[in-house]
Amino acid sequence: MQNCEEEFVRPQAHRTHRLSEDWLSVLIALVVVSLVWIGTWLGWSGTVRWPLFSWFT
Amino acid sequence: MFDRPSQRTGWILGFLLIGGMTILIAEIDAGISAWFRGHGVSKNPLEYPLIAVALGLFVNGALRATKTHVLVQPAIRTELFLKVGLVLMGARLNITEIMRSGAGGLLQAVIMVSAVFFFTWWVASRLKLSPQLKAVMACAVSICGVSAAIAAAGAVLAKKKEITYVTALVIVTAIPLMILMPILARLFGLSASVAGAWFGGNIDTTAAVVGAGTLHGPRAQEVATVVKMAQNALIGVAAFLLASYFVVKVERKPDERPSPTMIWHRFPKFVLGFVLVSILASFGAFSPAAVKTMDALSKWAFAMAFFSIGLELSLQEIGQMGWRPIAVYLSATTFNTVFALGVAWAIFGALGM
Repeated sequence: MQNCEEEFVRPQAHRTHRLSEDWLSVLIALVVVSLVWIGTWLGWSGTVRWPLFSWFT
Repeated sequence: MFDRPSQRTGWILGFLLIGGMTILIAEIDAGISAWFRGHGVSKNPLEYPLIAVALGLFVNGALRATKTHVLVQPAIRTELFLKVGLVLMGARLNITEIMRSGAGGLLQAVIMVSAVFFFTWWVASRLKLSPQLKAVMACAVSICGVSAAIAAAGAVLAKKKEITYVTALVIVTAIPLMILMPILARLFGLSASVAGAWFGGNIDTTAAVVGAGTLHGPRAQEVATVVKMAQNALIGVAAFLLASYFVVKVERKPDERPSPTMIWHRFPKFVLGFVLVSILASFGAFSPAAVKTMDALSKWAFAMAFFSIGLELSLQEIGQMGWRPIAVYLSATTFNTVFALGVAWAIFGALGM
């Protein structure tokens, strides 16, 4: 990511000790999906909105 | 995660900057949407990625002028924001939506997406565009504009300048089409169903499709939205096929055999997350409120990604891409417009589906 030219790097066929950005994105998204699912089940829907404040409407 | 304490500080500052600016982008987007609603267009055709990139470019200039750009660099995680947004976007790509759109919508979606995708790919090959740009452009024109462009860009690992270029073309082209197509539909004397199917099959962004439908009438808006939704549902399938094609064909070294291990290591894993969430949504695992929340969250993640793209973008690089992508895009859009009219007339007019 430090190099601005080739940003999207396909995972190569070797392992590293770090969690790849690819897996990290899946992990974050699935945690978010689970939280939303639990939150909705608990009746907390409508907390996340687009936009947050409606300044210009 | 951080090699030096200054990186941690940079990450915190950069993340606060990106978060704060994304809040501003959402507010500006809502303000523009309200303006369009006030003028009879129910959705904002000037979609938020354009605002996000423009604001990112502005902040980019300010940071470079004050020599503070390097400080926030650790927080510019465009790829991560984009992929998180894509997995979350899977929640609104309900595959059963195609079934609900009826036989006409399904038939039109499959014919249009296949024909326009391969036509765009063919023209782009003739004009020697990079495989990644070809894929992003073909998906954007054939499926549904910005969302499809983002999904394809992630699947084939396109460059930031390529996503920005295609996104800008999609949004800029959709606005005149949104205004012109309802006028042409009336001039041609098309029925509301045929006109709606034409808008849904041709205009690239969902907001502009709804806008064109609104300008024509309620029936056209209904058909246009249904046809567009059926096309949108094909994003997951397209992303999966493109990712597989690029791993096995485009990026394979000459002496390399595509073994299952090689495919697994190189396959972008977020596509699996995206398909998984889409399948869960299709089987009704999420309530409408949960889908709405995930849709909003994916929009937040995409806005952060596009703002980050602006933070690193150089207008000079975009300029160096030249006229060929524009020529491909305009040819594909012209083909799409004429072909969509024929298909809409045949399916919703002659066959009466």
